[in-house]
Amino acid sequence: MGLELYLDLLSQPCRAVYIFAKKNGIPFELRIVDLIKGQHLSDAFAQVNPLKKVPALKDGDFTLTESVAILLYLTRKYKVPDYWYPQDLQARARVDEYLAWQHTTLRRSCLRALWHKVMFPVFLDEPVSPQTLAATLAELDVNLQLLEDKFLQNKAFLTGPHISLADLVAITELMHPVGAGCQVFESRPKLATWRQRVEAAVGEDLFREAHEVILKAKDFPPADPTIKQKLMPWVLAMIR
Amino acid sequence: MNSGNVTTGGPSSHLPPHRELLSPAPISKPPRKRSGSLAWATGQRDGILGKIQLECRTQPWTSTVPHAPAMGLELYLNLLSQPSRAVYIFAKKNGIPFELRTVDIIKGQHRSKEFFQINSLQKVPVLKDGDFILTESSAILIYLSCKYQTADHWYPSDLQARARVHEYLGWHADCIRGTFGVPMWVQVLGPLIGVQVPEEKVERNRTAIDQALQWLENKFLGDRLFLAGQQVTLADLMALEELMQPVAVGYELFKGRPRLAAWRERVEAFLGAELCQEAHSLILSILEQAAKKTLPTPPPEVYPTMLLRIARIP
Repeated sequence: MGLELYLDLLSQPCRAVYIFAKKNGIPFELRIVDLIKGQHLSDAFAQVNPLKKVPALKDGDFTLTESVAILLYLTRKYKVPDYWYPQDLQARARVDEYLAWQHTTLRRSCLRALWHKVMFPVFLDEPVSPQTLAATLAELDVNLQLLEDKFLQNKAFLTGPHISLADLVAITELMHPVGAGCQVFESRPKLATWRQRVEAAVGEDLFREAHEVILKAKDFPPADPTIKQKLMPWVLAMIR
Repeated sequence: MNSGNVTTGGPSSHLPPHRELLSPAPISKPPRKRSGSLAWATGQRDGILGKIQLECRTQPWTSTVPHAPAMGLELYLNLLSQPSRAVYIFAKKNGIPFELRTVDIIKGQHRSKEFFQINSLQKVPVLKDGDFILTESSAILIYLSCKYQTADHWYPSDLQARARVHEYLGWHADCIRGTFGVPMWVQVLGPLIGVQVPEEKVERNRTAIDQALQWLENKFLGDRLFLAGQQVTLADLMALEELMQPVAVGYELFKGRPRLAAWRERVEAFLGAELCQEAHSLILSILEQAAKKTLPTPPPEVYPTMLLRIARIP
């Protein structure tokens, strides 16, 4: 068995892994793990990842979780173009810095924005108080500002003149609130032009393909009660 | 979903209602310039840091200290901070020469205009290598390991071994970071500004800590010697320093967890008792300092961020 990637394109980190593998022509078997059907909570998937999360990578006997670890593994194993994760010490440190920062900041805000704005009220039929939603969107705002001011600044891409893993991880995160109907780019021209550059670098077809699912999140039919009951503990733990 | 309430209580009657503090408040006076004093602990000459024999030069970081033109590696740290300790220990263990710049976070030095020039995110640790400034402890550790070509085991060049380190660091960011810092906020930092965290949140945090420790022990450690393999890596350092935080306020994390306790002993043995003592003394004395009321009073300008941090406790 060759490389297997266990993904659901509803998930931000899965999108980054998917785009990266496809863009770099890395051959893999796509194993869809349908999150809103609770497939990640199944015993079968627990055999792959006892932490019950996607993305997961299986390369022969070697199983790997955590999207950044997976992206770096693919980068090194398949010898992709240098700009994704530069050999240059300082250039690479910039990518490491972004990948570390985003985990507890932008990633968290983008996830909460989707769930508080759309997934809870529409998919799970669970109301979210206006104060909670407002707080979530305010936090997203703060992190978007930091993305612009600390990372992007006046550069073409987040860590320099070329696209890197940082941009890929960031853009896939931002598509979460976009999918929720948030105006992420409309009032932020700098981020909007950066987005265009990233999409062009990735390839517009691939970008569109990877984001089909999230852009339809608002239209997901409500979960039936059994599914809802199954998913709630996981959702609450994830949103924290 | 309720993100929770912060109960203000205690003797600090001068505190405005917390609602006001949460919105950006104009600072009524500029931050006081520190006059060359070191972090509070060193003010006690015979105290903890007085006993520490630092091999590197320690310079108080203030705006009044002129910077020499060609400065070597500088590390802006505070040993109360978990990621700062990981960076400190790594540099010391590997004999990496650096200028230690202590940033007094309780006194709010990290919020000063001067430190903003170093790190606009107003956090520690920060690395400054000539003109190159780097934040985020894992990025700093990786940078140091590569630049100073530390022993391979720290950040193995083997593809799968290195992947395991990153796998741990990813999970750590989600499940350890944030969670393990809460007890310190509950027992020391919150009370310092008269804030009491509701018991319900404390209990929830205890559960989260318990669950994380289970995963740490079962998935990452398993029957291996260390978290990402059979040798010490950056993962073990990051983990140990996070775990020290609740340990410092009396959480018996290792009780009933013999495998994890044995791991901790192995890591500390590898680092050396002296280095561990040096790096951990400050945090391990925190309860004593709080009881003796020798902790500095945070200035009002740091209240908003402190309150925000406390409000984020789930």
